[in-house]
Amino acid sequence: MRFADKRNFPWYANSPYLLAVLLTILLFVTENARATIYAGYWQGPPCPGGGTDVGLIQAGPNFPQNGVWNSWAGMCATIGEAPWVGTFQGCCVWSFPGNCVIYGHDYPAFGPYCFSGPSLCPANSTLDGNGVTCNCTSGYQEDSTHTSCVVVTAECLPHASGTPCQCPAGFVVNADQTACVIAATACQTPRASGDPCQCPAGFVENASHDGCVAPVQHNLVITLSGLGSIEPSGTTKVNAITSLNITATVTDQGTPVAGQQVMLEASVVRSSGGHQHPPSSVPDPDPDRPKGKSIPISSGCTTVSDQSNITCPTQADGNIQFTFLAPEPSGKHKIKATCVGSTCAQQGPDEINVGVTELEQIPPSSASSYVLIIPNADINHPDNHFLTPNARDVLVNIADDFTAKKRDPNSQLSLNDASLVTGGVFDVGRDENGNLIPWKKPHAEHRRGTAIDIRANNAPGAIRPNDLVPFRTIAKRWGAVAVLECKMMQNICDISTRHFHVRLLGRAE
Amino acid sequence: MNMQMAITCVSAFLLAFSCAARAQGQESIVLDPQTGDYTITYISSDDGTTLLTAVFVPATKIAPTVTLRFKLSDHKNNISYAYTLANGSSSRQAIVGFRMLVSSADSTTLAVPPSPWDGLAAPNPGEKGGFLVDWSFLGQGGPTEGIVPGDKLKGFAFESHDLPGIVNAQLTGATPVLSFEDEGPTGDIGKQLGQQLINDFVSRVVAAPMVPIPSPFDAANVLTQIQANAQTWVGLQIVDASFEAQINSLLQAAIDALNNSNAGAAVKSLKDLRKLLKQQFPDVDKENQDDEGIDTSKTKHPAIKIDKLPARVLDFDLKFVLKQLGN
Repeated sequence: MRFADKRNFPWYANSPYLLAVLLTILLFVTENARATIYAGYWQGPPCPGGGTDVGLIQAGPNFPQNGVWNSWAGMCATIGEAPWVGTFQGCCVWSFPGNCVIYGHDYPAFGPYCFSGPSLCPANSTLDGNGVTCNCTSGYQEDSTHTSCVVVTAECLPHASGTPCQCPAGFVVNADQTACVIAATACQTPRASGDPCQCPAGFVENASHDGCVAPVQHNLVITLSGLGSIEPSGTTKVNAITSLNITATVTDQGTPVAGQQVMLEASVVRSSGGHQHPPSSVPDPDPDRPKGKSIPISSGCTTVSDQSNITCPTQADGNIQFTFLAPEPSGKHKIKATCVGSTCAQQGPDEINVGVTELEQIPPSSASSYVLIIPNADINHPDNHFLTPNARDVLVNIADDFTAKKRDPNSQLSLNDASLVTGGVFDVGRDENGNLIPWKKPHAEHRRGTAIDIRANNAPGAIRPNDLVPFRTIAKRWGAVAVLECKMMQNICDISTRHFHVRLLGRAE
Repeated sequence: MNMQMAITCVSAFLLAFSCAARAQGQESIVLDPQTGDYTITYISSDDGTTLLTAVFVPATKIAPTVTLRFKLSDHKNNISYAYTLANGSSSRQAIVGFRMLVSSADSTTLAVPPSPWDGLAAPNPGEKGGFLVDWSFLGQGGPTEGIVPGDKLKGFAFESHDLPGIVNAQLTGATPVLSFEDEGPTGDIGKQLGQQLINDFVSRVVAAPMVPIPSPFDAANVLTQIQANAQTWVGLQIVDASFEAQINSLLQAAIDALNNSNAGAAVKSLKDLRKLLKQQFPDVDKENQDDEGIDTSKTKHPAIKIDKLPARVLDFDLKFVLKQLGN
């Protein structure tokens, strides 16, 4: 790269505009045709001593491009003729007002006509023959700032990035040039980097604790099987199914997970089982309402005192087995399964229905042989007229038979409490102020839909005294057992409270 | 154990139970041997502490005898069933109820003694199914109502399309309505009393419709149902087990023969069975003869292999089947 010797071009001094025509912008052209703008370029006719008279100048920090720089003006004026206005790297500078600054060296006192100036192409590059671009030499490529040529690298390895490709901090390319591995000296342990040692962001310790790997994505799911309907406990039915063996299974993307601690908690759905209590002021769940108990079958479980929930580790097959025991009141239960220390998504069925499922509401009498006492005075249990189909049929037959044969035409069958919508404890106990004592002092029986109370007091619509024995007899012929119940006042039955308690299928509940 | 407890702990499980309960000073059921009534002591369901009492008068203080006659009816191809009830002089109650579960009955033929006796023949709506036949005295439970001790009453009758089998009829005496303060006894006492109430009757083994006759007639089917009924007789203690095995074997041979279209072999087995019965009772096939219901609590003579009533029922049925088979 050489600057031109203007002495061979006498026309030059008189034709500065021609020089201006030759001036162009040096483009640093790479293979991708990206360019950097240099300050100026000058080229003249061949020098008498040989070579090409070209010049390349680079803007310095105080050398504005495309403007007039006059601080050298006085200096050049003293050493040269106008329009030379200054010197730069041994050259006089000729300024074109309003145009680019150009450089020349036509002043004889400053040296030969032609001399070589420093190459302004960066290392590992050469000036293209067009005199406009610098090309990176083989094995190098333009860097991201277009100011240097850097070694060409292959496609980045996994986890490496940048130009040139670089491994993340604390990692180096392994010996096989195939991966980024932890720098052996980056940390006292081989697992990580930094102080304290830790895996870089996005990495976790591997299973063998000797490296950092991308984390495995877990998808824990817990499901319950064996749920269904069972009957409330505390009734006299032989062989009633009042418990369920339930299995909770934890899987990770379909694979059973062993050793996962799981908490299984039972709760009762409010107002289920026909109990419209407690009032809304009582928090949900009702702390006093009896609920089912969970008895572990699997080993290693812990149980809370009321046995409403248990915590167990999953076994090798990913399962936990436990027995759910029904409480005496009916009602829907929810089983909430929660993984301890992990996030599990509970999927599938979660409900156990505790109740006598076969109960049906007593229909209105087609023969007007009985009336239902509705609405029930007990607002906590508005649906109190449910029976099994067999018991209902017996009731209808008793009622029709009695109505046809009663001795007193004023006798009537007024039906009071049978069972709640799904049976179970029928809590009717009251304190001295008449307030419900929930879940305690319940009706004796009235749990399975086979017993019903029928008025036998002196009120209109009740069985009259002359029909007490005939009613008992007619009930008995249909296989029922009818006994009188009343409150005693000074050793005498309080007639106003008297009613028949009828076991429609004969047996107690 | 004091003298009263020694008296009450003589036999039945109820009495034994009452002893245990008494010993705890809690709930109990105690039989009064003089009256035959039970005094029930139970804890009030109202306050959970007060001991209350009630008196249960069982409907079993009767001494019933059932005389019956079954025969082919004069119409409808039915079999008529008629019963006469008698109440022994030792009875302490009047008989006010007579009830049985049968296979079917023609309710239009139901005969009922004079009011306030009331009759019922209807499908049984309870769990046991079948057909309910009942006569009840709809009185006030007084001592002079119903069939008083030493008396008897006929007129309990009906017809059925079904052949006779053997059933347990239930007879009940006149009692007041059992009354409780509060809701009565619960727990073990309540359960014991509940069983007592379910079984609050006196049983008598009688003949009643138990063998449906299909239409068209199917001899194998009828014999199978005769066989099923006969297989209950050992449990009722009205037939010796070895003799029941002979009955069962001959019935099965007849059924097998009929299923193999060998009517001749079937007839032979049935006739052999009738001979077997006649060996026990020469007049087993005598028609228009009253039979007596069986009190199974009475000791049977060891030489008797089968009671006369089931023998006559079986012979009647076999004769009917043979007639249908052309013999």
